[in-house]
Amino acid sequence: MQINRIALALAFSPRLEANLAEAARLNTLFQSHLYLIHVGDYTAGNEQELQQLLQRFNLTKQNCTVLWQEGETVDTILETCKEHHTDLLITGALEKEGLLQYYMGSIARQLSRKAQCSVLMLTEPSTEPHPFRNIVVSGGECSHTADTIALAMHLAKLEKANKVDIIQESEYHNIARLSSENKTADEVDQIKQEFISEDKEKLDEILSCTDCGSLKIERHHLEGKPGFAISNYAREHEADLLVLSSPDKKLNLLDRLFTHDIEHVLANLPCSVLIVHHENLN
Amino acid sequence: MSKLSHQELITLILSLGVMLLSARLLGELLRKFGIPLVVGEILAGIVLGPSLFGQLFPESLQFIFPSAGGATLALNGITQMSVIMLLFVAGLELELPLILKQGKAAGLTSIFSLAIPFAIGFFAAYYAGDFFGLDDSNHLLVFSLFLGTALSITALPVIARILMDLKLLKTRIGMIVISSAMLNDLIGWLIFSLVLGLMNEGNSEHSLTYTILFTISYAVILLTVGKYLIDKALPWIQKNFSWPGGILSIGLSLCFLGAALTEYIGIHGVFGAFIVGMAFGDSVNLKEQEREIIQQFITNIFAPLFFVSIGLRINFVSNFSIELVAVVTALAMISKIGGAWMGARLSGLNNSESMAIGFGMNARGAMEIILGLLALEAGIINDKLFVALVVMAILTSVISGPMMQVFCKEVVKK
Repeated sequence: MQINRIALALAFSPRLEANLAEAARLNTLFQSHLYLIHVGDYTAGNEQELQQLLQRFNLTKQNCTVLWQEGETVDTILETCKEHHTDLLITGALEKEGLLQYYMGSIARQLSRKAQCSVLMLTEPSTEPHPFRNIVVSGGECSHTADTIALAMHLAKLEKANKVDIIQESEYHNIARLSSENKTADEVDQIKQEFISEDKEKLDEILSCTDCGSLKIERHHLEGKPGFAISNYAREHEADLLVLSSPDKKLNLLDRLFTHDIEHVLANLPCSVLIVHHENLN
Repeated sequence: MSKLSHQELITLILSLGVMLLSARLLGELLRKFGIPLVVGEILAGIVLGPSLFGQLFPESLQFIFPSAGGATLALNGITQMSVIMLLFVAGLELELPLILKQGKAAGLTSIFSLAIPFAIGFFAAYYAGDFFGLDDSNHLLVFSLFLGTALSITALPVIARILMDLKLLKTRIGMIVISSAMLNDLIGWLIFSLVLGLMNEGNSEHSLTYTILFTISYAVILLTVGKYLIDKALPWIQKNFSWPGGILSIGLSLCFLGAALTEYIGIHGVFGAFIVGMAFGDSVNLKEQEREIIQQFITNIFAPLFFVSIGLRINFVSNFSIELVAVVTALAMISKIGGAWMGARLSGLNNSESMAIGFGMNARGAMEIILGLLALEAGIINDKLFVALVVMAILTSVISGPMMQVFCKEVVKK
């Protein structure tokens, strides 16, 4: 599992320096090549400011390329990522957005929903970045859960993470309740336990095929709405990175109106979030 | 305020006790044989009512369940309230996000399993209205629309139980069936509300266009703004009100207010309660225990009263027509299984999987009976057609499980 090309969606905002510092750190960590994508007018002032920052973070032509692009922001960034076969797109993101902005979709949220590569949304980028030490990973059922866990473990090993929590979420109580009229309480409970055991077995299988090194891994099963439960867990346990699988289908406005899974996380980011896309993972 | 006499009060309390006890005993007895509880509850009503007990002991029947008077009126009010609460629970169980997650397969299965029975039911009633008991040819359109809706409805709890018994609930087939059934319920009740609106057009002060506009606006507003407000209010209620009483009473208050509003608009109150249930149940802040308490309270106390009351009102023996039952059941099964099969095939599933989905979607259960009774009360259908719908609902619910099992074995073999 390797990240060879990283892209940073660059905006000349107060967070520029912090976002660049974080991207540079991850670029070094993964020993990859960093693409800085700016969509907007080129100005000499911006160029100068950027060059000073590149120098400060030891980003040279060997490990970094600056791409000045024009066009519609989201589409242009995604097109550029596709063109350069990037594995990871980094973007700054606010934890929470206004109601209207959430439904319309900010640039960061739109990128996270539409990207064909994995996306890292940084909620609190710092000019002096710290490694992700407390990582929460979703082990929920999805077509590429194994890829997500593998990438999370790879990152956790590089970061020398203190702890990795793998969370499996389920709504089995809902399912069990639906059919409870013809069952006793014990029978319903037994069915729920069987479902949970099946999930655990699947995770066992994934972990047995994943190189976790000497990482301290804790596994938890949460009952609750998928996406919402893991988001709450990450917030309560002060995680600094939440790793999720990208959804199997493209999300649209309806998914925001009737929020489910990853949309619960995007509605209110509990910490920095890494959304793992399976298509172009190495 | 006028009140019940001492004797009427005794009669009311006695009838409630007898209804609940018989429903539970018969329901539990049938449960031992894997038959849904609701079938036992309906049978309890048939046994207690004019079909059996009334034939043998007419005076005793009149004593416990008088055909007129204050106690009867009060009991009728309780059963009306029960059906509103039942639809609130049905809404609570419906998860729109699950439908969205399943995407194309659920969408196609649901649309075909709804459209084909609807079309077959509509045209059958339109061209053979007399056979199905159409009393007034002025109501041909409403009657045809109703039969179409009645054939297209699906029973979610019955399906969930079957899938769980067959250990299919977590499989792709299971999730498609569940989410398709949810979508069917939503669209089915939306259409039925409009059918009732159409029926009341002459009596109501509102025009049909107004009713349609309000039905759709009510659903959209409740499921967006209403859902948002409920979501924000629930943590406050949980924090400041006593538990679980606070949530229970607020939930039921919203249910009745929604029902009252839709009744005023000219749509039946059940639709209002159903949509409130959906908005309430979709909240991430509604705790599982709270959901459980609401559901248990309604399904174990009010649902039996409603289902027993059906048998008390109608003589199932004298209104049983074998031809009508056979035709309604055949139309319902062929159209539903065929429609769901077609939708599943179009979404890429193989023949055995599609057949399993078809039989799964075929279970009608309690929803069909509620729909039928509302139509009977609204004067759309007669007693004979209602009895045929009840028998069809029971038959389809009972055979769905074994038939799904047959086709799922084939899926496993392949």
